[in-house]
Amino acid sequence: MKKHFSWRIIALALVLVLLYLLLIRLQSNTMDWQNQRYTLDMAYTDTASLEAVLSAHDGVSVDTIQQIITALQSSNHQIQSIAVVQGRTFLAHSDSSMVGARITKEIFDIQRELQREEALPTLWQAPTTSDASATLYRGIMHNGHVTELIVYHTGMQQEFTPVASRLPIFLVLLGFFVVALLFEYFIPRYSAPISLVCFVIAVVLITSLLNAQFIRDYNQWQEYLGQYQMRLDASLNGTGAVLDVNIPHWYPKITSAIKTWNVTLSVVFGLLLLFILSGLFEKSFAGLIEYRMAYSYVFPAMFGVFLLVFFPFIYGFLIGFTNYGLGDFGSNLISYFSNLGNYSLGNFIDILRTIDLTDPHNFYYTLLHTIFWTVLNVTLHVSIGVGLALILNNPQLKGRTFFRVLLILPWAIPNYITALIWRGMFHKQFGAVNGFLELLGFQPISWFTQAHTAFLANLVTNVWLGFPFMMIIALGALQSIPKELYEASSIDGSTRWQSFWNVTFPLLKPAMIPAVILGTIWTFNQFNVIYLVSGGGPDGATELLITDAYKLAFEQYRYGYAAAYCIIIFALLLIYGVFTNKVSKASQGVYE
Amino acid sequence: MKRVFLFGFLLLSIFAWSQTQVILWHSYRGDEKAALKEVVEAFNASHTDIQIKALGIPYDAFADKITAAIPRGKGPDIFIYAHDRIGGWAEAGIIDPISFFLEENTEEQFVEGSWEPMIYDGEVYGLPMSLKSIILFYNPNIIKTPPKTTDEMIAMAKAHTNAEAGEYGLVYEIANFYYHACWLQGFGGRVFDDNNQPVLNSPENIRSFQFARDLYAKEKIVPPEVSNVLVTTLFNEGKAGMVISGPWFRGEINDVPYEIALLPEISEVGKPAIPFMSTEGVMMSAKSKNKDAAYVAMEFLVQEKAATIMALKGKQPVALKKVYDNPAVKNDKYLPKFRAQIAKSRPMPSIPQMTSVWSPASTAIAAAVNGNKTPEEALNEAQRKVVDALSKAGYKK
Repeated sequence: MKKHFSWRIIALALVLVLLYLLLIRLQSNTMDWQNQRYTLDMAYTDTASLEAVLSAHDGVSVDTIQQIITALQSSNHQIQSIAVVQGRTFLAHSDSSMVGARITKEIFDIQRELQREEALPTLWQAPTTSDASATLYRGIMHNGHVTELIVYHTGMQQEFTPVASRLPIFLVLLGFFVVALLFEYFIPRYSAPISLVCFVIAVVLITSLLNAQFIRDYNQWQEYLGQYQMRLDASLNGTGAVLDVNIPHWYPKITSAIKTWNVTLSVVFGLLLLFILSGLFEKSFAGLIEYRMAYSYVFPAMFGVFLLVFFPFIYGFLIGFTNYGLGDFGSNLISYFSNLGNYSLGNFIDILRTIDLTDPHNFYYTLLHTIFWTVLNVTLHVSIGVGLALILNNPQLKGRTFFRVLLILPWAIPNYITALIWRGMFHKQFGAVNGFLELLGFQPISWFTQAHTAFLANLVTNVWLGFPFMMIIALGALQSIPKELYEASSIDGSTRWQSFWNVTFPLLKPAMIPAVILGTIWTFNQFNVIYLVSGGGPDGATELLITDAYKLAFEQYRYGYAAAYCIIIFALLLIYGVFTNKVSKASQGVYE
Repeated sequence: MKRVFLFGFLLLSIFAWSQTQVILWHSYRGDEKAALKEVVEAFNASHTDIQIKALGIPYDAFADKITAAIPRGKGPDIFIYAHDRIGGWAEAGIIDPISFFLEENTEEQFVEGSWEPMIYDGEVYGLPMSLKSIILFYNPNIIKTPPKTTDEMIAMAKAHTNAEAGEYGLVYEIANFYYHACWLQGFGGRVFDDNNQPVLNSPENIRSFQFARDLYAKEKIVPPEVSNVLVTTLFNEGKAGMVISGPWFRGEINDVPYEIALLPEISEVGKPAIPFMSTEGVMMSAKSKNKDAAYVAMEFLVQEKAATIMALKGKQPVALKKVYDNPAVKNDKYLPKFRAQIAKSRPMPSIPQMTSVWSPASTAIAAAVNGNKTPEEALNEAQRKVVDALSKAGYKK
């Protein structure tokens, strides 16, 4: 009873700490963005030293600039720096905490960022101390009059103190933890559902806390805006032109971002909690402790497999549902993945929608071609491999070892090099194959300009590369067949063919069928040969699904679409693998 | 004694640590690489507080590596690459504009036409190092005087083509869109129109494709299935009369005499062939931690001392005007001709949409030349593919 109790609590504590850290990370991400812009280290306090801080005034008179500064300043917002860019745009910065300002490079960066309107912050921190805040003004001038003003305000903090500013959130989480603990101790029977309910309440509370902060800041903004409008109207607008003051419409973006985060977090942690509270966690945990020696041996390999296999797999799986492409490379990965709006089934619909078997770029054409390629190749591999194995199995064959080594060579040489050599051999003018054909009196064939000859070229290369594998497996299986069976069958008067069919073949099956499954999957995904020999053939006619996916990803940078392609390939091969395994009962031994 | 060594070593390492290191990536080979090495050494010798560390990355993977490495913070501080990806990289936030660092008259120091490709959306993103365009190489033992028009070129090539012996009058990567562009633009064709929409299947483009097909199928002066290895091999064996390639080809010629000439005028339209010009520039990564030091390094790479080394030793047609006043460069057999061809070239489109054009366009020219499709069909198909890819690609604009 006691043991059961302590594991759960530790697990719960871990979950809560994780949740808390994630929330902080979420907030501090956006803080970094803001802090970068507003690094300040030079002081400016009065308009007399205006000339000293101007980076350029590009034909705009100092008077106008003084007017702008007067208009924008207020008792708790001193203009720290102002720069005029290309005579049209000015950027001014104010900071109420009166720390210095390094202008020019930062302002140039800001100007560039601001020009990409979509790159506005999606979340920012409201000022929590009374006057630690900074404001950025961007104005457009025309003939010396300000025609547009955009105001950005952010709560700037030189030092980020997580606990103090996150206190309400932290208290909520702590409260949930305490409640769960109490229930666990006193009423263990209902602890699971109660904990879940507490968790849901905690998430709702946190959401509304975050929302409340943003609503507060937005309202404050509206107020500032009204003030600026009035002042600018009064001081600068001599011609009576209407001053258009914009506030960036980021508010809806912020709330949707919060919603996305909340949903994602709730789902993830809800699942995690269910896992813990249903008792599964402690079962696996107990097992882990009992076999800790074994697990510690396995751990490095497990870690490697996770990093190299599972993580890319999950990443690819997620991307397959998005439209990740050339324009998304610079964006923050976490924000991209947590934005539920990015996910859709669009890629799969696009791929599977049209059936057009005359168009080589159609998915179904490529699928049929790949299946045809696989079936033909594996058949040839197995027949040639088994045939050669039967010949090599004869102990009286002279030079047996020599032939065996020779026949394994195609497999031993890296297939990348082999494929390139074969491609050179199939060159129309200078290739060895055409040279040989000419010797025999035939016309040289232009191998790669027609679909069927390009397919033949690929086939020859792949068969040459692939049969040694089947041969080796068959050889191994043949040598394990006891000789008594052959003797018994010859005593019964069977012919060579009958003894092959009734003795050799059934005993080869358990070895060959896994090899065939493996060979099928490898041939289905045989990227090297197709890419290097025919390059996908004349205009995509000899493409496999996998080479098509590669070209989509790395020549057209349509990562999302290509990942969806790969998910489909994986699904097909998985079905195939499971199906054949069941039907052929290949995993069963021959004597079962 | 040991202590002295240890102390000295520590001192040195502290000293080394206090230097700013600027990492430079490039994809040069052969002569260009050796020249760059010399330039970097000159820089390191003359600057004690900044050191450049150059790293060579193979060309095929270079652009992808930059696209992948820089956003993760793992890339170089500065790198050398052609201008055609500036648009895409600028949009993706991979390179930083250097407008801030530029002095007043930087633009005037460079050859006309080399500065504009470095600009995207009103901001300057790189400093031009060299200009590259393809040009006509010929073997003086086979071709006595270079052709001035394509009719002359075809006649000369035919006279020296003997398919049985593997000799061809004109060897160039006919099925590669980059090389074909000289005919395409010469016929008056374009890849994008003024609104940056692809116009691959315009009538001029189709005529240029027909011209290439005729070179291969009718006149039979170009060998089948030309790869860049085949071009080099045939020229080095003395079996190629004329080759159309770029300044990099000079580094691959072994001991075979060669001359260069401007690309001929296209007889059909009476206008010269206009190849793609790519400006190779040095750009700054947006995630660099030492942007000031990086700019000092960038500036060194393009100014007179470095440019002269790159021109004379690296055989590059550099972008700095002053270098061409240098007597060694003036009297060089080749550099002034490259500069003349560049004057007759047009910058390759550098908008992000260009990235989606290469693959369909190359497939189209290959299909047209090999006769699998008519030029019109091939270009219509390419146009369809490009429009499709652009509408689906995740561009922000």
